[in-house]
Amino acid sequence: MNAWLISATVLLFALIPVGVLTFKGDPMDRLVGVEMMGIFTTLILMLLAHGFERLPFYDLALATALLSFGSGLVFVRFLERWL
Amino acid sequence: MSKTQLIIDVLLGIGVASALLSSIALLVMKDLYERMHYLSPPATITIICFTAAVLVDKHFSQAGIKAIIIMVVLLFMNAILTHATARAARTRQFKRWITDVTEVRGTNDASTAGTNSQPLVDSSEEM
Repeated sequence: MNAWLISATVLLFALIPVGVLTFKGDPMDRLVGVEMMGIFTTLILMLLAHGFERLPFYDLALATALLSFGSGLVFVRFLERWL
Repeated sequence: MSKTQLIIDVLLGIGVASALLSSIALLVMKDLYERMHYLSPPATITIICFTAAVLVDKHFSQAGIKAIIIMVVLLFMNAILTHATARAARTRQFKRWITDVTEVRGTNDASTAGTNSQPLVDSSEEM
C-alpha cells in the first residue's frame, strides 16, 4: 500500500462527520454536506486512480467533480424556489 | 526514501490534514454561513497539494494534465456553488435576495448619515 492509497483511506474517514451532518441537519445544512461529499469523493477517486496507476480512472474523478457541480446547482435552485 | 517521495508524502499529508480538519469543522460549526467557509479548504488547499504531488511524481504527463483539469474544475465549482448556496439560504430566510433599509440600519434607526443611509429597495417589497 503506497502513500496515495493510505491518503485515500484516511480521506474516507473524513466522510463520517459530513455524513452525520447530512443525516441530521436541516435542508440547507444537508445540501452543504452533499456538496462537501462531492468534493471529497472527487479527491478520493483521484488518489485511488494514482495509487492504482490506472490513468483512465482519473476521468471518474473529473466526471464526479462536474456532476456534483451540476447537481449542487440544481439542489440550490429547488431549495431556493420551491422546497 | 528519496527526496521526491518525501515531497510527495508531505504534500499528501498537508492535503489530507486540511480535508480532515475541514470535515470536523463542518460538523462543529453551528450556523450554515459558518459551515460554508469550510467547503473551501478541500477545494483549494487539498486539491492544490494533491495536484502538486501528482506533478512531482509524474510531471506533465497524462496524469498531471488530468490532475490540473480536476483542480481547475474544483476551484471554479467551489466558488460558484458556495455563492449559490449562500444566496439560496438567504432567500429562504428573508424571502428576498436584495437588502432593504431595515437590514442596513435597523428598524429604529432614523439617522440619515452614512453610506448605507439610502434604502436600496422598499422594505415592503418582496422579491
